[in-house]
Amino acid sequence: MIADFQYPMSAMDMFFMEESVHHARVPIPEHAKTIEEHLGRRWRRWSWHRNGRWTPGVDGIGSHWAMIEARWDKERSQ
Amino acid sequence: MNRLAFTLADVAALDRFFAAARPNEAGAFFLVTEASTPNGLRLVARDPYFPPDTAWTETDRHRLVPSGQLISQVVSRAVAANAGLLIVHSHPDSRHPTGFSWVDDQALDALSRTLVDLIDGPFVAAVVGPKGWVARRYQGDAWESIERIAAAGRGIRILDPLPDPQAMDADLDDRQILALGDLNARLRSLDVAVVGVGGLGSPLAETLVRLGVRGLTIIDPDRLDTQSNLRRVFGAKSSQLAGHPYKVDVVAEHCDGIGLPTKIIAIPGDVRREDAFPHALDADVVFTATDSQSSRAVINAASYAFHLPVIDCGCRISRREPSGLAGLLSEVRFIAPGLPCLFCRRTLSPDAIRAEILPADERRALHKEGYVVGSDAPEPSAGALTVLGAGMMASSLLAYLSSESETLHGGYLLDALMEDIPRAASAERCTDGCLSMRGVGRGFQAPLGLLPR
Repeated sequence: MIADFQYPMSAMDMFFMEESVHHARVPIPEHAKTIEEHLGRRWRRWSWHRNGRWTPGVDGIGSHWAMIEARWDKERSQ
Repeated sequence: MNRLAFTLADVAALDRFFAAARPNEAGAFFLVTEASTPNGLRLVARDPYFPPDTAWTETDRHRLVPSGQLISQVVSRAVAANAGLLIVHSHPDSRHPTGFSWVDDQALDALSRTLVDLIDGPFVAAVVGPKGWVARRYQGDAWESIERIAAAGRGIRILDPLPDPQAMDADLDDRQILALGDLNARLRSLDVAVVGVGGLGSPLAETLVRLGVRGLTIIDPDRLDTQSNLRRVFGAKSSQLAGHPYKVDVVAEHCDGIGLPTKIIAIPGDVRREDAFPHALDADVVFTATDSQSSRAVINAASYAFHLPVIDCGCRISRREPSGLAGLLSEVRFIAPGLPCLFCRRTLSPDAIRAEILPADERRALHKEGYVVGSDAPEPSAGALTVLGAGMMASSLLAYLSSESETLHGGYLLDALMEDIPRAASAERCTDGCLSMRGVGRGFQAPLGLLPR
């Protein structure tokens, strides 16, 4: 997860996992086909968005992680 | 210059508490957070405690003696909050001095020597007399004065005694005194800061100097480097473009050239940076005249963390192709504890802030993919509208300084294209859990979103 110096006033968006991590029995979805380099390592960008749902003081790393988990669960169940 | 800042709500509660104790003296305690500024200190008072009568050993018209138990209680509170302590008491009799009495001096000297080793923050004393507040801070083994005492909320209330109107320059202020009365003396004692001196901030700076503020600090990292600046930046000359001077230097020179006594400080820096930001804390009021969401987020947070009144403005021109205009909008918002912050008003967008902070190449790439709204292209702007916005901001300063401020809304919208003047749709208060509200009175302990030096 990436946060900038104005976090939590600025929203978090998307998340990144090691390139090799994806669902074993499901093809890599379109929204996760971009590979980016950060901190000298390659990361798969999971392009899941909050679509403006970020309230400073209410949202943070915890709620962003919760969104990621919820999306993973949804992806797994499909 | 040292400053002591309150919320209007706390001062109103204190006024009621003191009124109920009349004709006797009464006293209360606040936690205090301290911030160093380039010109002194900004002390921020929060979480008042109004002790019951029984907490004092003696209370009458001329004396107020706290019990040992009360002192122990308030010191424990300050230590637990990692804060300093303010004791404020009343001089209710009109024959009482406005400042500290000889009896106060003796009692506070003894108390300060005891407290200074017990609390982690500053020890501050204030007295509310017939003509206003007087305050001082214990430093080392002596007292230093606090020259400006103010409260922010739905308005700006200056609590230190009104300067002598006779001391004003009658010829210079003649028509303004006719218009503003005592408010003119208040205005002449104000130090203000303007963040951003482009099309909006530069006419505002000139207007504030002509209105007669005591001090003006202008903060902007940008340089005069495009022809289009000549259309909007007051003071800009075509002969200056080649030298790429800082806008603050251009505007400061222009305002200085008027020849009025306002002290102008030009800071060619980014208000989001730890070195430039504290200059804003030396002001009684800050004006945000920047179109940067990220910079406004810092000043928005500071308004609550430091009880700093902020007047914000946004101007927008909407076009109707090919040559029509759909709107000439200028919106002024007043921000202070007790009024909704720019996030709760939906003026600031956490997504837009994130996009603005991204490195330029990353922002362009994400914009191309459709994940970032907006681009690096300049916003539409026309000097006529930004001058209107500047006038609205300066007029709002008068409105929020006036005794009518409590009846005012937290902002208003003006469309120069329409005959009616719609009021800005705005939240009445911050939402539960709002970050700005959680930072009220916390000073640098609140998240401000600053970049390191």
